[in-house]
Amino acid sequence: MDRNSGIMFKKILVANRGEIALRIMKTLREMDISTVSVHSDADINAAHRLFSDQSVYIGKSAPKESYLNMAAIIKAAKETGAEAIHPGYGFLSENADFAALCEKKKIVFIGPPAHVIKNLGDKTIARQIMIKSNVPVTPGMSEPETDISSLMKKAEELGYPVLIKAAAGGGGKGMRIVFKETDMKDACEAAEREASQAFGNGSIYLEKYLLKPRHVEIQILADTHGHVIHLLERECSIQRRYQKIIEESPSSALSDELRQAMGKAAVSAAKAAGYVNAGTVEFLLDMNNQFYFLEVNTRLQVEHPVTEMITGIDLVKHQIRIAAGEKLTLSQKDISAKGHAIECRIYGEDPENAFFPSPGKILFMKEPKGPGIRNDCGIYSGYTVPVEYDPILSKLVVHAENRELAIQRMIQALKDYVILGIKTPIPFLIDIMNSDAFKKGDTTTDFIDTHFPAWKPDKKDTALAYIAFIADELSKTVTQNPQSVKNSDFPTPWETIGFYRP
Amino acid sequence: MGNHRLLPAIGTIPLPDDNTEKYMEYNLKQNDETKKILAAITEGNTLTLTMEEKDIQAMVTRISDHHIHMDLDDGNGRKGINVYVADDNGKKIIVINGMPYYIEDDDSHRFAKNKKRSGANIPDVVTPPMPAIVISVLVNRGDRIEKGQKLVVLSAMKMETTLTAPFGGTVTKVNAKEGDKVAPGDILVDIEKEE
Repeated sequence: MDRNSGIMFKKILVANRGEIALRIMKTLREMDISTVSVHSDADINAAHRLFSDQSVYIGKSAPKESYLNMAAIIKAAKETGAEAIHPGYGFLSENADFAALCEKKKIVFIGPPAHVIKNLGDKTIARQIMIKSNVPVTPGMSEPETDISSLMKKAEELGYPVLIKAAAGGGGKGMRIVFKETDMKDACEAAEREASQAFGNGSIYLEKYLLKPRHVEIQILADTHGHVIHLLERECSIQRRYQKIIEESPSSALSDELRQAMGKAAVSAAKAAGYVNAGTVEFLLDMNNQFYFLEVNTRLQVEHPVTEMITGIDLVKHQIRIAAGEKLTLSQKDISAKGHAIECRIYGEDPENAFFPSPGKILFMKEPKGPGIRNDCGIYSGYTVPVEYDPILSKLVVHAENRELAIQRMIQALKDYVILGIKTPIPFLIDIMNSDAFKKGDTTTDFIDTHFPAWKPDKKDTALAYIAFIADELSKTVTQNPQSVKNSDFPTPWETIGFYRP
Repeated sequence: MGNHRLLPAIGTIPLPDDNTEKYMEYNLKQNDETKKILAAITEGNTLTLTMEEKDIQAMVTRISDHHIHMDLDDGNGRKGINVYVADDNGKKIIVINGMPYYIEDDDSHRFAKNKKRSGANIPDVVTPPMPAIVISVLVNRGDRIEKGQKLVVLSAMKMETTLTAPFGGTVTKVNAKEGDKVAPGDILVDIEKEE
């Protein structure tokens, strides 16, 4: 549906789950727009379902049957009278067929037009567009390939190490780095399978793997009236399994001059692609400060909060206004950074054991609070983190006057964040924040392999933990068996409360 | 004390009925290290602990089921800390300043060990390291397999992992199929070990 009326939506369906669905709905609430969520069998008790004004069941737990089930989501929007769909990130957010289906069914897809998603979503076509508009790209293939022997031949030409990437990819799914020929076949097969599971498309291609690059991306906003601006950069170099875990802005690697140049390149990339709505142009920055186009993410990024913190701009609000056909109210000169923001992704995974997923029940949690602390969170005490979906639990974001203070604030916020019952990388993130390498801003994509190759936690407070163990054992008997404490003239709440368990 | 003590803060530790010092011995274990600790309730809500020949006093206030405040005094000044606790599979998870500690009572551990001689803790079985979904089973009943051979591909939260044979032998039974939800402790493939 083409909207130039500028009439604001009354009801929007959020076709996602977890923390991002909640984050979007919070802005919708502020804008006085009704919220519709969708949920699968596994998400009957998920926070996003509980938060929304209305929720529609869209299928079984497997993503293909629910959050990737286009027909069910369209039906949910029609039934509830939602005028637009916000896809969040992952799932259908970069699916051109879904955007096209929305257009056909006269539902506004909050994102770029289908053909733009299609062009940019195919990482190989995106490379071709960038080459044409003089945006530098990394050496590699511009066509996807399924034949293993052709891929092996191409890898030989590029020279190992090479990076296998999913043509439809993003978020590190279906991505593999291969250092030698003998690993190539297994890696391609695993990447194809992972890509097909995550995106419904198993096509892969190869790029030369740059050593020690930084991952720097530029946030853009483009309206339907041809106006494009950028909202500065995010540095997202610290990754595990090719997936970001810490992001910040500004990047300590960029001079003002380089920042301007990359911002300009991102705006021309967006214009060349006919881009509309919020998007991100990702670049690799090598040791000589040369930047290369990596890909355009045609959606709201996981790490968008760091940009919101330093610019004071609500990106979701602008996405919705743009989708409603409004003109961008911001111009480039309105955009400036204040202070420094850092985001740590809190995944349900075990940092001591190769970041293995750690789904399960959250027995208790307490979120950190305080000035400059934001936690975009999709879990709660008593919630069981399902095995079917991405293990992101929340994104802890801090904002402070400068990088040094932001690091200190993040350390305190992490220490104050309690999640009992499943494993999280919180102690690992604290150690990264405390490391000299991070403090110096020495953040490259091989940061974890270089500085934390076999990380083990320093359990320096074990003596306190022993004391806590005993304190818990001895004081717990009171709450569990109030009959044993009839030794006071003044009954305490524990004596009168019976077997109540908060 | 006794009948005239002040109303304690919510959930503080009760004074034992006979009001005498009772020492309890705890053998607490983290990973493979066990420590002996003597604990006594010395005042209404104060614990006196002896650990590695050091005495520590802890004034304990239970805030909720999972939150305890402790005022510690090791003779070099007082310090207040918040600890967060939950019982999980026979262990206690204790979080202090962002760091989780997994601590078990070694006495009960010994007991549990005797009761359960086989199962998930023995490494020689094919069992998932976490709750997962079976992507594919690569062997059939009757197959002869070698140590390290790939047996089952699993996926948890969209990450793939492959279980391999802990030893060479013959597959006597396959207990999982594609799409099954499996958990640690489930034996996915039975193997008769080659002598």
